[in-house]
Order: sequence, then C-alpha cells, then structure tokens
Amino acid sequence: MDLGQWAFLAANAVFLFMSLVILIAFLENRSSRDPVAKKHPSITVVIPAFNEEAHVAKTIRSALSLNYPSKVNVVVVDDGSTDNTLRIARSFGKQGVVVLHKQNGGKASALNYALKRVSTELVACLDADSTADENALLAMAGFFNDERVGVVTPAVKVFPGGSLLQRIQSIEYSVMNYMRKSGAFLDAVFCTPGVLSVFRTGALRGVGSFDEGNLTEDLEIALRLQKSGWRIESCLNAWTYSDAPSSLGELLRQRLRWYCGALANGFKHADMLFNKKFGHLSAYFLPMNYVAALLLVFIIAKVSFDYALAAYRFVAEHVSYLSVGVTPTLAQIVSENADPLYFASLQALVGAASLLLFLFALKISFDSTGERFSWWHAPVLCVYVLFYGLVVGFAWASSIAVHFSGVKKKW
Amino acid sequence: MKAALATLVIFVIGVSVGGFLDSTRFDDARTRLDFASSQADESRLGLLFFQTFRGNPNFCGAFAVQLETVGSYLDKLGVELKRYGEANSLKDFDALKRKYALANVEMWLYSLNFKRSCSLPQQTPVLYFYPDKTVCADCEAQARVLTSLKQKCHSSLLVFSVPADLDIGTVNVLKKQFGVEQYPFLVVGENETVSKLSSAQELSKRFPALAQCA
Repeated sequence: MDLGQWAFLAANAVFLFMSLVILIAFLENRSSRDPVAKKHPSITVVIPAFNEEAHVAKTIRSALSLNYPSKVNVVVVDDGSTDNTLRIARSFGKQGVVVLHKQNGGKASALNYALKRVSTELVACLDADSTADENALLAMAGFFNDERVGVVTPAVKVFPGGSLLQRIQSIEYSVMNYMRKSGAFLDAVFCTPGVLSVFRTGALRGVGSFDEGNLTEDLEIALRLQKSGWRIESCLNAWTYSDAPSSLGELLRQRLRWYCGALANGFKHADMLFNKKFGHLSAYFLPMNYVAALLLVFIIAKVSFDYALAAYRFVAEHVSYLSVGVTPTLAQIVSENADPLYFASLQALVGAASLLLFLFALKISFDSTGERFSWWHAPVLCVYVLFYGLVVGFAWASSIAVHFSGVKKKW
Repeated sequence: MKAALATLVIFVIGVSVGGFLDSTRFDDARTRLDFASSQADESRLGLLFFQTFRGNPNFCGAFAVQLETVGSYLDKLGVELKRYGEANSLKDFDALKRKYALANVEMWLYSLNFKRSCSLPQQTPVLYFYPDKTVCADCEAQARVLTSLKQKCHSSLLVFSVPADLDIGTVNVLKKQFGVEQYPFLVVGENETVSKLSSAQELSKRFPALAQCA
C-alpha cells in the first residue's frame, strides 16, 4: 500500500471519529423532549428581501400564518430591490405587515436596520425565499424558558419536489439538521440558519447585532453569541423550508460564499479554537469543521483521480476492444468479475462502513424531523454518494484558493 | 472518549478484516502458483524423460495435454493475480507476480522444446509481454484476442503471459533479445514478433498455423 493509500485510510479514520462524536452525542440525548413553553414572549419576524419578487409573497404569507399565542409582528426590509419586491411587500400592509425600505447593503445590514426598530423580546430572521411550518414558532418557544438560551435554530428542509440537485441537497440539509442538533446537545452549534432562527433581541443587541461585512453572518453571529456566553439550541420539530439552488453554477456560487465565509470567520474568531472556555465548540466542533474541509478536499482529490483513471481505462480499453472486435458482453464482464475477493479491498471496506454510518445518520435524521424514506431517495442517494461529495469538495478547494489569494468575495 | 474508542474498535476491526481478506487472496494465489510450479517441475521431468528415452510414443500426446492444461491454468492465475493485486492493500504481490512470470517463461521454453522434440509444426507457442505497473488498454484487448484464439485453437496455441516491468533478470534478457520496447508484444513461435495490438484476423493471416484453427 503506497503513501497515498495510507493517507486516504487515515483521513477516513479521522472522518469516522468525527462522525461518531456526532452520532454518539445524538443517540445519548435523543430521548430528551423539546421543553414546553412557560410563556410565549412577543416576537417579530424579520424578512430581509433583495429582488425577491418571485418568492416574497409566499414568505410573507407563511410568516402571517404562524401559530403563536402572542402577536407575531412581521417586518419586511426591502434592501434596495430593483424589481417589484417592495410593491408586493407593501400589498400586505392591510394585514399588519410593516415594510421598511433602505438602500442596498446586504442581508446583515437589512437585519440590523429592522433590529433597531424591534420592540419585542424575540426576533426571528426569515429569508425571503423561505417558508416556515405554521407550528414552527410554537415548537421553538419552550427553549427560551432557559434564560441562557440566546438563539433557537429550526430544522431546515428543502422545498419538496424540485430538481435532482435540489433533492440531493434535501439529503444534505437533513444531515446538517442532525449535526446541528447533536451540536446543540453539546453546546456547540456554529451556525444559525436564516430560515427562522429565533434570537433573543437583547442578546443580539448586546453583542452588537449582525456583522454587516460578513459573507456568512449567520455563522459569525453564532460564534459571537457563544463567546458572550449565550447558548444556542436546535429544535428539530420546528420545520422550515428553503429554496435550494437548482443549478450547479448556482450551487457552486452559494457554496463558495458559505465556505469563504466560514474560513474568514474561522480566522476572525481564531481565539475560540481550543479555548477551554467554549467547551466542545472550541475543542471539537469548530476545528472539526475546518479539518473536515481539508480532509474532504484531500479525499475528493484522490477519489476524483481514481474516478478519472477508471473512466480513462474504461474508455481506452473499449476503444481497443472495438478496434480488434473483442468487445465483451455484459454477461462476460459479470462472469469475469464474479469473484468477491476482487472487490473486497480495505478501501472498499472503509467505503462500505462510511456508507452504512451515513445511512444510519440519515435515517435518524429523517426520523427526528418527521420525514420518511421513500423510493425516490434511492437513486438520489446513489448520486449523492458518488458525485455530490466531489462538488462540495471542489467548492471547498475553490474557497480555500479564493480565500488565500486575497480576492474579495461579495455577498 | 467514547467516540475515540469506537473509532479505534471500528478501525482495528476494519484493518483486521482487510488484512484477513488480503491474506486470503495472497494464500489463494500462492497455492495456485505452487501448483503451477509443480506442473512446471513435472514438465521438466517429462522432457528429461523424453530426452533419456528418445522416441517414446506416449510422451508427445501426454505432454501436449500437460502443456495445454498448465497454459490455461497460468492464464487464469494471471487474471487473478492482477485483480487480487489491485484489491490488495497490505501484502506484497510483486513477489508472486515475479514467480508467475518465471513460471510462464519456463513453460514457454518447455513448449518450444516440446515442439522441436515431437516435430509438431502446427503447434504455436506464444510469449505475451504486458506491463504490470502501468495502464495498457491495448494489452487488455490483446489478452482478449489471444483468449478468443485459444478457445478455437485449443492445444495448438499455447499462450504464456509475462508481466514485463517487474525487473526480473531473465525477463529483461528476453526483452532485449526480442527487442521489446512497447506493449503488447508477442513472440510467436521461436522468434517471430508482433509489436502492436493485432486482431485475431491479423494474427491468423500472418501465422498460417493459427489460420487453420481460427
């Protein structure tokens, strides 16, 4: 076995360890139920919108239909849209929706603009292309019984249906929900997604609101809140739906922003890394994020090379077969490769073990967010396992290159 | 701590199972190679027998069967060694491949002697050189061509495959003698060579002995 193969095996072992930390934390705590709310603090749902004429109406309707014993204020911040977003938002004025308009400054600036005008105890951020289940706020409210809780994050799902790419992302989102919940059990959540994360208004103001220059303000605020001693909870019974990218180009652009943001925030809050004060977040989850990214890039590079080599061999061999009229039939290929010992390599075992672990994690993640495994998951899972990692790995590699090249990435 | 322990346990189990599978593959290939070596020993004795009791009428028929059997056996073993070697992680298959190459060269030399001793002009021994360490798409196709010819020719075509890039002294001498510089490379009979991928028709056209069975 050469050095590359050993490195591949070692990288997989590290991944295995990371996966098991998350899995064990989840399994040990999964029986704990969401707390029942002792009171329902007043709340404002802020919808920052920039050129969202296609979705904003649906998002506002979703916010207006949220079940909650106290009044739910809905504020739309039009962030200098050049389309009909403002007009559409204003059409909901009769239903009590407050519409603010400002010059374009990015999502964080829109949120801060609204935050200055919020008078409720809680404030939720709802991206203008997302919706929430009507009982989402009710499910989350109980977590605020604990005065140390500064944010509660929901389970984010991709809108049902959609393209193959969106279906693949729905699997990824499911895994992220499970990881976030596991992180919450260990006080180690490092992202508060913009799809109805609910903040304690005082906590948000206390840490200076969102960082307006940040590519991933939802990640940055999570770190800053925890630095200030606030806890972040995750509620898998609060279901929200996001519009995932439908094309590869869109997905890569989104990931480039996410991962460049993650890298920038890693450096910004480097003092949190391995700092005992922040427990599992700094000792494990935060470093894990970056180590996993590097390992992913390495593993993906190796797997890509192997795929490319296998594809080259397949094509070259078949061209040769054709040239001398000996192309084998499928039956021949099957019979020639019938010996299982041809395939049962150490790498194949590692792959199979990783796949089983992934499927198990996915199953418990689905179970926890009220989703059911259906037949369409099978082909989607195949594509996910075979190719999606390549896309994410490529996005991480590109992000690392962009970050260290000093190119300024905009929101 | 639990995760670290679980990782260790799973990793140790994984490496152990992987090691067990590697050993199974290695032992299987070694057993087959030992059998092929014993067949080569038998061929050597057979040839000695023939040289000692020249003209024994039983020899040629028995030796022809023996060579065909060993040739087919080595052929399958070659595929197995290649695949097992690719799936292998912990064991060194190169030593087995070297033995395999030498067994093929040895059997090829016996087959040449047999052809001369028994005066069998229709019999065609072929020494087939291919690389073990690099990708050679044409070699895969050439192997299929030879297999398809073998199925038609039976004992009149004897193919002996030699992984040629394992730095084996005898193989290097053969490569120099026949001018092997690229793969696939065939030595047909005692000294005729084919230095590029050739179809069954091309080989049959060039070597009349093959045309008769193809």
